[in-house]
Amino acid sequence: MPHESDATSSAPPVPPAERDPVGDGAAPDVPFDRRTADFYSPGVSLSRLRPRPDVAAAPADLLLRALEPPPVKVRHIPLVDLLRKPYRELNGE
Amino acid sequence: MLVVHGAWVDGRLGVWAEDTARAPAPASRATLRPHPFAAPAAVLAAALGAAVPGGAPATAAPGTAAGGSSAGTGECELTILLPGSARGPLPSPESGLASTARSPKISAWRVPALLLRPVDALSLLDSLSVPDAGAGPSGLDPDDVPGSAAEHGWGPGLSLRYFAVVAEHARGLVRRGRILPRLVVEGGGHAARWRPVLTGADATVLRDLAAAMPPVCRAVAEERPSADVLRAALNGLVDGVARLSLPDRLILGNRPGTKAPLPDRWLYALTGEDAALPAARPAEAAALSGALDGWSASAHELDGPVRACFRLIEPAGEDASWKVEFGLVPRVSPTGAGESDGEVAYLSADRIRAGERAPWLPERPEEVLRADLSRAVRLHPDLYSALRDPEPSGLTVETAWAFSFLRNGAPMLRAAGYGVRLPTWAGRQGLGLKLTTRAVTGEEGFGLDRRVSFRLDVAIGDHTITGEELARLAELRIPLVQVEGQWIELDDQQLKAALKVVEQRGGGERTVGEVIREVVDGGDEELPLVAVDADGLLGDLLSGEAERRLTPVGVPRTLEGTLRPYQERGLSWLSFLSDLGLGGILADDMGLGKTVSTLSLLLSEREGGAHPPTLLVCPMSLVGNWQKEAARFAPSLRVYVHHGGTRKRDDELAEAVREADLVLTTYGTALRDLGALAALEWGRVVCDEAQAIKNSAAQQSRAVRSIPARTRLALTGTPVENHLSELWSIMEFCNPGLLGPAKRFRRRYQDPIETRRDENATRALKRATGPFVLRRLKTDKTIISDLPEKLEMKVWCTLTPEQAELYRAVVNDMMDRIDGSQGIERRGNVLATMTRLKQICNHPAHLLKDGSRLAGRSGKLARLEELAEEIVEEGDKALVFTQYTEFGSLLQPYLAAHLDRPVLWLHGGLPKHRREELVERFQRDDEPMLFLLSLKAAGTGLNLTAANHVIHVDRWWNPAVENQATDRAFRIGQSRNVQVRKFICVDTLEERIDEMIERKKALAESVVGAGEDWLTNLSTEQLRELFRLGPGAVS
Repeated sequence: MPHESDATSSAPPVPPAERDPVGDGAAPDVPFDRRTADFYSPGVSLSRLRPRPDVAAAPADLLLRALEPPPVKVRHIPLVDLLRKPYRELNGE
Repeated sequence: MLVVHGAWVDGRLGVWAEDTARAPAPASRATLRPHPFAAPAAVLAAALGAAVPGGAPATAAPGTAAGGSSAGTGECELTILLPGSARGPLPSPESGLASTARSPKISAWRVPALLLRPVDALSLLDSLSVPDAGAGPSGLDPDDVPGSAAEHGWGPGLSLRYFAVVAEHARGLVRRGRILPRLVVEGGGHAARWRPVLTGADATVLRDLAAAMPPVCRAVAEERPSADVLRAALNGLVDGVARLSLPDRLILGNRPGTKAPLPDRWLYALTGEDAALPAARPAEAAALSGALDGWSASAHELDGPVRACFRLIEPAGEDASWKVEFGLVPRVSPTGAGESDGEVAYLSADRIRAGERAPWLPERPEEVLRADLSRAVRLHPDLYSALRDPEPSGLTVETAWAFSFLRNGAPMLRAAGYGVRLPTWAGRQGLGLKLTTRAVTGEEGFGLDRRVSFRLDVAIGDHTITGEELARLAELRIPLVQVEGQWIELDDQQLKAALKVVEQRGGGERTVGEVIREVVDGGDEELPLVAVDADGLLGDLLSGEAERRLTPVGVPRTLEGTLRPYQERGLSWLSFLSDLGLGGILADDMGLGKTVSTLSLLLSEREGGAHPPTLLVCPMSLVGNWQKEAARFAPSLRVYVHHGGTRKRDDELAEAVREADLVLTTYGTALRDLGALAALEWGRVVCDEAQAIKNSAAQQSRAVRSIPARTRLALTGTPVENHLSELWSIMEFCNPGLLGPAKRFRRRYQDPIETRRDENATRALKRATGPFVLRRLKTDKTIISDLPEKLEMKVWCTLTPEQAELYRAVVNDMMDRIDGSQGIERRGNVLATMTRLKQICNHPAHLLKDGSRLAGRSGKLARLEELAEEIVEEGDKALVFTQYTEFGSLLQPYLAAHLDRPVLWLHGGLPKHRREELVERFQRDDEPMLFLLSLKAAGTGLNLTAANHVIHVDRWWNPAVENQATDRAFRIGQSRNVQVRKFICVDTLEERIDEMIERKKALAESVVGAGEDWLTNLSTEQLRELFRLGPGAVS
């Protein structure tokens, strides 16, 4: 089974801010032997963990617009130009 | 029953299951032992068949997670760490199996499992997210599971439901475009993958999600960090969702060969199933991944603790100009408006340069402002000119610029996380319609056919716009104008629509019915109705406050009881709508007396003369309750229950209906007997617990809609549970066609309100539906003052056929034993019979103790589920008392999974400190929840005033003990009224003992200290009568 990582051996080092948005600043996990009473249960109820409805109607291609495009071209076409339309369709529009 | 668990294993969702039918048996003593009650992979595959695309997952060569496997879904064996003892692992709470280990230790177990690719995992996980997918924790009705799986109904464990929540987040991230394509290393090669971009609130939410991960999700092979497991799962699911969302290739042409430039191959591999990029040249891979990694990392530049803020300032006078002021705000919310000590934190560039400081301000604020401005120009190029200024503080702009900023720049900047401050009028509706009606002299009475004078005007707020004013506005080049000192945004379509109204509609006369339809229509999409001015009874109705303005109709003489003032007002409203032939939704909070209000309406009508019968459709669990309440409050009503195998048909049915005032039936029976019921004459059709028809396309919704009646009424405590479409569906039952087609409703109200929280659409929907919906809340002080402090009620439940069969068998068996025994033995037999019958009334699994499924087998449980759902839906908390610890242990995991809310469980087996923790959590946590309590362990001493509902699921038949338990919530410190419900199964020993106590209060009080012992002194014949199962018991 393939095991994944987000870096190549020859790639430049990943900027620290991107390394672990999930783990950075998170409290350490409680060891298993102190979780035997609730081993099968989430720490808080699942209702609280559900995503909230999207209130601000941001266009789905906002990230493409807001970021400096990468210097990547495919068949001489800038990558961002190729992605713009598919991104706009991501939210079903 | 299979309880299915999930874990993320090497890029796939690993699922394994406990089989509750395989009773835990002592495990072997080997170091790595097989899990003694895990389901074989083939059984699990068969059970999941319907939930995984293409039926049962394909069988692959057995392997282990650590050993890796080929593409596709496959069976394997996982090594998983679980708490337990030498005898075996502890079962999950969801399994309902008893756990015995006193000091559990973590050890490794081998479990058969299926590994699902992300796309297959998404299909399974999405099926768990569908609201109301099933009646119990199973999420899927076992009856729907085909083949051998029918013997193995399955339900998701909390670990699998956890991954369903992760999948919901993945879908949300993709839908919002919070993803970027990457080049990653997989298994020694390269691959094209979509990865989430987690910044701002997303990163915070995902951190919380990682912290809450059930340990079992990260227990494969070793104790893995939750952040690693969540990151891997999110990566896999986001890639899966993105590929499903992008079915077309991103660039045309055939798949490039391995010699083609890597970016070409990479782009191609971002869609479809095959993400692999074999034989990528290292230099090319390094260049591409470096560019893409840098791109992704730059997203975090938008995520700083302080953001630029843009403030649009309207001209101070006629000769003044618009301004956009720049400043900084701390990043607190996506709107950019941070708060500090209750003050909105914002510092303009000028104030910063003047030396003003705030704790949140960075060391070099001007650099942050300038960098943010540079980035903001990408989103709104009109800001470019500000960059020419070495110390930008704002721009003086023309009206056209301001309009462009309002329309385009502000929403985009706000969505990207910048602070945006607009004048208060911005975004509000500009032009609208104002409808004015007046009673016409000479028209008598009030009815839908009565004529009234009618006029439609174009208006801005309360200001009516004349044709000349409108023409002048239409000639303006820039649609940002000032009318009566108020700035408004116009657009061409609105102006055209307004001119058309002025030309075509004007005034005249209409019928009341036409006016109502006009109001409900809410105007055009371009030009909505923004104001209604009506007089008389029509004004009362359209005000949405008819119940307060109407003349009371008076309490029916035949009502055995009294109505509270708000119930009398409700009766007037019901009568008013009914007289007009209009349907309504009585949506009062639970406990405010919808049942007695409805019965009063029926009595009131009949006091005025003969009336065709009312057909009342309700869930099966409520039939007995309606019967009892009708007998209690409205004994003069002739009630016929149309339900069960012995129900009347054909002419007999017609005869029974003709002879009845109220016909009770269930949604299931209404669907089955639709033809017969629709052919009869009904004065009214009532849907109780009208959430049952919230899905307009569901068969039972269509069925009740198709039964003709003069008028209709829906009763529900929660007219909207999840989506506004539910309100449309219920309104479509009450007043067919009045709200227009569902598609229009979605476009006009649902989408704007649910996706944008559009205030105009919310107001318009309230105006359209207000006349037909009466909803009073317990929190309303005028209602609350009407109520007693403690409202006690009995909840009548029926038995399922399975319960009834068990009940009869136990009575037959035990009566023989009682008859043949004496003294202590007889006494023991009587008490044992009592216990068994009460267990059956609770649930068959309570008596059988076989770990069998709970869903759909107990009328009492069904009622408890309905009530609990309503309670947590309203944001309340409830205490649920049972005298049986084993029943509480069954209920706790079941209700927790069913409600997706905490269900705490306090019983005698818990140490003191644990009990205190539970009480503390219940009292302090603001989340709605249930607290299950053992009557013996928690009946006294505890202070649980956070609850405003108390439910006694089974009875101790001792008012003092029950009152003491109730007083856990109803005591000093309780600021709200408390609703107390006592569950009783109709026509069983429960009802008979309740009757005896009610009839002989004095006796009851004299036996207070004796619990149920006094029953052992009854004669065998008295006991036979007491235990007898009556005909009304079975639903």
